[in-house]
Amino acid sequence: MNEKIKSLYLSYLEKNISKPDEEYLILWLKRNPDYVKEFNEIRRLWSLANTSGKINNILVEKEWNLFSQMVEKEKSAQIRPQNNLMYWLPRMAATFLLGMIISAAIAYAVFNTENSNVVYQEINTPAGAQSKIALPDGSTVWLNAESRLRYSNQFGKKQREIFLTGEAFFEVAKNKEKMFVVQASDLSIKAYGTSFNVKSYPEENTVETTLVEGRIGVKKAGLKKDKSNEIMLEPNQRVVYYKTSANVAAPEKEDIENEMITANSKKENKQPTYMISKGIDPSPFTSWKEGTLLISSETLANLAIKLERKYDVKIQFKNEALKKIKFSGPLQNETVEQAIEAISIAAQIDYEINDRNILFKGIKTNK
Amino acid sequence: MWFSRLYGNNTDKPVTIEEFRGIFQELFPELCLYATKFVGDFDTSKDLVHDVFADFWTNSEKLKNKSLVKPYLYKAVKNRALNYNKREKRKSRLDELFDSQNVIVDFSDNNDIISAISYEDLQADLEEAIGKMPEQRQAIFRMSRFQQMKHKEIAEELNISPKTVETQIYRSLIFLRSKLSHYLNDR
Repeated sequence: MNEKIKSLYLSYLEKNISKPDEEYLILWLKRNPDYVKEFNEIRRLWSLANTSGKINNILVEKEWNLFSQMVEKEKSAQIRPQNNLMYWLPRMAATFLLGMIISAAIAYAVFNTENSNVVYQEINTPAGAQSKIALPDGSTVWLNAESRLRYSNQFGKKQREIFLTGEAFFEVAKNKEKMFVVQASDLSIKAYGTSFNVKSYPEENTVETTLVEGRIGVKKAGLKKDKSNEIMLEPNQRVVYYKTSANVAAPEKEDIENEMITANSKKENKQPTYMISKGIDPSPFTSWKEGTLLISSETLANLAIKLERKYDVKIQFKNEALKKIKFSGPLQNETVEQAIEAISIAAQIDYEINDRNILFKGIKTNK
Repeated sequence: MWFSRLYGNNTDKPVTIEEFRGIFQELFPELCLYATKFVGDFDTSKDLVHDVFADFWTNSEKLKNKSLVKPYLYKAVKNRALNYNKREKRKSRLDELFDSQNVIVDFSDNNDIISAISYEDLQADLEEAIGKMPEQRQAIFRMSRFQQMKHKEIAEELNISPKTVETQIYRSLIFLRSKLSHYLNDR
């Protein structure tokens, strides 16, 4: 087989092959049928390798969330025909309507050969709500709006592993024997008796970890337990992890005076990409648990996402340019109307509120 | 519990949400892997499997006498994927040539289920095999497959010629094929 065939075949795999080249390859394969099997298996390998990297527990969680939301929507739209299954639907609705509820969602997982049952405890908070949770090991977690915390009945026995989607503040009880590990997106955050904040919403491209007290180690899940793969944080440090290297955008929120390090554990291997800020004030990142939003030079686009979660509203923009306007300042006990009014006055923006829908229209014109 | 339902146990009760959730979490990954056999890319597979679950959800009442959820879902994924291919007509002639060579496991009875790919095994085996390659080749393969970088981008990033990148990727593929052959034959 010559180099040209290899090269054409690889461009076929990358879906980057021209029609004539493809015909050429087909003709070649007809003359060399021995290669059909090899190429076919490589093609399968190609798609498996791609797929395998993308599947993990967090993805399945995310898909399940999407799925259960879809079912919920269907129900409220009354499209779903009456049938036997209706009997439990109100229970699901309760998860969404009653604010935080601890659903005894039971998942049986089969590990290895022994059929040991693992039962998961799950805590959900909808938009507009927050909750404070006492964990069996004495640790405390504040769960922000639209977030989910999940841990098994094995929690506290041999390990203290907890799964987070969304944002939470952890105050971890000291226990040297049992490491406290937060799994957020594809990061593992190990705590050694400490308090810290993790923000990992599926729709955002970053996982942000802010350390207030103690010591934590951040590592991409699946990497070896090697010191070089783990980033250790000291108090008042913050690490932003970019989920996909393709979308590594320069972070807008970092203050310039902070020392910034981009940690690339291996130069030739771009993943994982982290941004570490030292000597920061952690309070803007943790104030949500006291119900305060400390906004520090944030774009209206980012602020809108936070307001949507805090107040359970939908915010839309008529004019894209508005998204780039930056804001600073605290938001505490304001109602959503007051908060929006304050933004409107500060930036001279016209807006409309219609029930739970807010539309930012444009810059006010001077009359 | 859903487990007994999954592996064959005739009951008349409808599927409960807890059972459904268990089924979803257990089977979503492997059904995605199965779907990639037909449609190739992961995002499409994920959407197809999602749709299959949605259908299964609305129709699961019909299924109450069917003892095996798993073969049912596998079959549904296959049908949906084939329909998708027909509808989209997105297959190239080369795709068709390769597809025609493939034996598709039908999962029409319980025994075949055992041969379903577990993504955990696949990930572990793939990772182990990649780890056995020379370092530069590993890096190039990861960039190509896990970060979806094109040859040219990899070449620029590593400051080597695109030809070298191609050669390295091809060698990785030949090597991995030999290590992972049990995932690739007749599947």
